[in-house]
Amino acid sequence: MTTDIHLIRDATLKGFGLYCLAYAVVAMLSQTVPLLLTLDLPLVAWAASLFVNLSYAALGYLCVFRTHTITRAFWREEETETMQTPLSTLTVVVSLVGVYFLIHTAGLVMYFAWEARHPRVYSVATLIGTIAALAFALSLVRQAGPLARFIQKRG
Amino acid sequence: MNITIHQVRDLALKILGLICVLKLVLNVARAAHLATLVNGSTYPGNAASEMWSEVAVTVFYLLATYFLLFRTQYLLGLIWRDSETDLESLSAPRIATAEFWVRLIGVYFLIWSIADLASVIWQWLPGFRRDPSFTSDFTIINTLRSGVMLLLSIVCVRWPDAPFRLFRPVPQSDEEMPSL
Repeated sequence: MTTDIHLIRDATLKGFGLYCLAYAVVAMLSQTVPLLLTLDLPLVAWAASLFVNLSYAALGYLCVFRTHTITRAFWREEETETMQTPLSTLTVVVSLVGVYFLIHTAGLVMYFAWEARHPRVYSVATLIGTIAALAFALSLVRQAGPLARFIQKRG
Repeated sequence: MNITIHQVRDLALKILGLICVLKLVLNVARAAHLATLVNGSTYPGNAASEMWSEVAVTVFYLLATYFLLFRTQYLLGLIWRDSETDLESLSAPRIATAEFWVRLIGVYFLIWSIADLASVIWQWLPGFRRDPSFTSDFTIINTLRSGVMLLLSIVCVRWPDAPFRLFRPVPQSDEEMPSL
């Protein structure tokens, strides 16, 4: 197997982008949506949280689906044939991002499950959001192959 | 593998630059949030001083982002003084396996959860409980969270193929799973 620096850059940027996208989804489910349901919090706190998550999502989108735009901006080189080569390692990259968020959200689920013993809108919404985030992380590990194929086609 | 160590360093610094973009966004959001609290009376701290501190950190991240993303060669020259044409090939077979990266994620969470456990465990000691009604709940929550993360991180370090075996990922038709 011949590995070229363009492939390594592509894999690294896509891996980083996937991390950003997964972070945005997890944070949106476990923070931003529950914050919106808690009406007594100031709007600016919710807006700041939304702004951060959308920024993560935008950077993630650019890195995953517009990888060539990023590489052209950072490395001003001629596009070579190897940049078009399908990347066989992307399945593993998607799985690894899934494993990372699996551990992260499993801890959060325990945290909010305990807090939801005293049911309030915020604690219940956060628990549901965190469980959804855990399911999302699990699906990243389970569906790494199809996701990698989709990313490779679009990115 | 026709990759030079110089190219890998360049890539690592650029990824660090992208991380700085995210930190920049976080700090801008925090500074904006604090700016709305400056004239309020409900905030317990000094909102103005905290806001200016966030602005200073934002400026730092802005500079770091610029240098890491667009002046990478300058930084590479500062940090590593070896020749740019050093074509030493990168041969690192250990990092070419998925198990290596799962172990790395495990070690990251291991350190994180041990530190977190250490910070809450003292609250279990009776002599340190200043407000039992508050600390017991807080301590239980944090111990549970850190305990679960510690357990999962140990699994990742000890049995790095466990996540792939446990959750049975759907393999691509043209490749086998865990190897980079």
